[in-house]
Amino acid sequence: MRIAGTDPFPFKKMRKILFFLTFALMVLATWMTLFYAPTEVVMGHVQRIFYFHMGTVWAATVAFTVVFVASIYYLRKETAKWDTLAYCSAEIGMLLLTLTIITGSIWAKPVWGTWWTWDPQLTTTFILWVLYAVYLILRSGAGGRGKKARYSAIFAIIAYVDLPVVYVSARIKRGISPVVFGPGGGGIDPAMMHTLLVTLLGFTLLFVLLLGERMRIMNMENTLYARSGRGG
Amino acid sequence: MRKILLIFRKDFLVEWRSKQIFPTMFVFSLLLLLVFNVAFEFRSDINFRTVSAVVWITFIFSGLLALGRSFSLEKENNAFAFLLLTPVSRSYIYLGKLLSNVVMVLLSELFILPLFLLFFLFDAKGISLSLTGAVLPFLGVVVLGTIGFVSLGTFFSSMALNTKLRDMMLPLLVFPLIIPVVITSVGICSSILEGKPLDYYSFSLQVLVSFDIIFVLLCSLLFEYLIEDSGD
Amino acid sequence: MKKSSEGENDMQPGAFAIETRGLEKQFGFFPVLRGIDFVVGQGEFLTIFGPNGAGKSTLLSILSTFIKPGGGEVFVAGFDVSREKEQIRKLIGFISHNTMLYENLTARENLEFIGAFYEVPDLQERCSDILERVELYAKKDALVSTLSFGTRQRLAIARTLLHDPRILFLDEPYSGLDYGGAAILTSILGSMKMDKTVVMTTHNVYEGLSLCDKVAILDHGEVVYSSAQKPGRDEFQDIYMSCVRSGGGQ
Repeated sequence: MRIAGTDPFPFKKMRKILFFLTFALMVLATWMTLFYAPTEVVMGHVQRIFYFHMGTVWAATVAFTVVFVASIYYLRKETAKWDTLAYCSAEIGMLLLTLTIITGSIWAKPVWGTWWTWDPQLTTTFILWVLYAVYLILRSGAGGRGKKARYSAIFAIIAYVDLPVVYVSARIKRGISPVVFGPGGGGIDPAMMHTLLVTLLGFTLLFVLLLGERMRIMNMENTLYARSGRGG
Repeated sequence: MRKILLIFRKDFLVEWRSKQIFPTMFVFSLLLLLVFNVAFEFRSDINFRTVSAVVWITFIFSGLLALGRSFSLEKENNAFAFLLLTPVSRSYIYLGKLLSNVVMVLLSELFILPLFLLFFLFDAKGISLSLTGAVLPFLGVVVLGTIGFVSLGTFFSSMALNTKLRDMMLPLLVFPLIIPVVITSVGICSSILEGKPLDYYSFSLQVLVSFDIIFVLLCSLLFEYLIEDSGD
Repeated sequence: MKKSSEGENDMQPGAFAIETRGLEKQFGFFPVLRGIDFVVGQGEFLTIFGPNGAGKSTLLSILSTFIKPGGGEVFVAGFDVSREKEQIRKLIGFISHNTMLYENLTARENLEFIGAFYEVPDLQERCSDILERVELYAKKDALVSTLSFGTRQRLAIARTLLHDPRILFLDEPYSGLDYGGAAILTSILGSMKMDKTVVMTTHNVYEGLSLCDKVAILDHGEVVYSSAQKPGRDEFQDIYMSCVRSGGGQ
């Protein structure tokens, strides 16, 4: 296994452009969420948190999909960069998913009258969170570098395949909660739709930016570690 | 197929002679039974859902504990390493081991089940009526659910052994993944005890069978990556 | 005792038994093998000497498809160790100081179980033959856990020879063997020198030199000395000391 030290963003310019683009989009998304989108009739102002809720859950989904794909590539190629990608993406995914749960709870309290309920979506989200927490624990406790990378890749693949099954089985007993923006939601105000799309795009870019930066730091750590004598 | 049976025969023989799974499972189950009984003070308000839940929690906890013990024995004198030198497909090694573990765990469960009957169900009203028609379906679900959790338990027992947390790691890895098995098995078992018709739980049954098929296949595919030694 | 089925269980025609080019391996960030190049022709017997931690076991583990190479190319019997493991596994045998037997199976069960995966023809008979050869026939139905260490080692040798491998890897095979066991191993190795390729690692100069055609010395993950002729024992002792010392120990 090579100790690749490649920078995911080889061109300084690209990093800068991405940074400013993300910054601008996030500011725009915040403004749209707070002022542009109309107030929802039934739920009132609290509904506005839903845009960021959707943004984080979307970006978390992207993050875990990246973990899944990178893990498959790691098992096939065994090059360190795929492992670094999977690990960094899992970390950021974990952060985004935690934000999703927090924003969801804030939204649920006034709307459903409870901070938490065991409906299929929430159950699945909860298990998703636990699965990737285990993924991070596994990484911290699994011996050598190669073994750590291999084990966590295997676990990530199985966990990702497991999720849809968890979702289906969680639906069996419990009632299905109302889906706010979904097929059959119907009659969404175009301004709401614009806000949602901008937020989703903003969070996607934010994820890419964070991922790139995290990988840069990780690569620096690895290079330092390799140079710090143990490599002899 | 012949090779899978060969590995099954060997694993079963080794397990039979070393007696790891059965005593561990049996004694641990008895303890759990006692704990549940003391904690819940079952008597008059017994309900089938709770009994099913207790049955499955007991099976899964004691089963995983025993699987962890069983694999550590095989690893001790490296006989497993020699098996890896032979030109046999890694999937067969997994499937043979899985088969042996399933049979062993099922045998233990067969001894544990009557105790449940003795301790819990005798107090329930009308149980003798519904049980006559329920025994075979109930055992069928036990088989399916056992395949479900043993498939992942067998797979991850070899991984857990190589991490710093060792035995502690196995439940961490397996529990979040087998949530669908818990939901469906407990659901179906309580439906059967309540005397519900097949239609009532057929969807759960489909989910459980799909889970078994998906994860037996996935694990046998990934087993090669799991056991291959990268050296560190 | 040749196999009846030709073709499939055979080496690539015209290939070296073993060929490595720039073989590297790291454990974590720590390099264990740093660019190993060597060739062993068919039927040759190579002994690799080296102090503990020189990378000998790692090298054999890579050659026997136990662990993956980190870099470079490795061919065994003409097959690539990273891509054509199955073909290689059919042709090789491995003996180490670690017996790797199933403690809860009998001697015979151990042999039959492993033999079945190599599709050894007339397995029952073959097992009896081989047990005779290592003088263990009387103990064929004893559980391995009841056998002494030397006896186990003999059983391990029998198991490895079961499928008549073309290439043998011996990782410190003499360590832990009793006198009788060592004599049996030497006689077996001597008797099949003609048609088998053998790579053995050891730090015992006497046993290492007695059978080999070629020698190499490994230190700190590099081949520091190799010779196509077998040197005299005293001469070799001097070479060994000078090579290993100059390699710079800890």
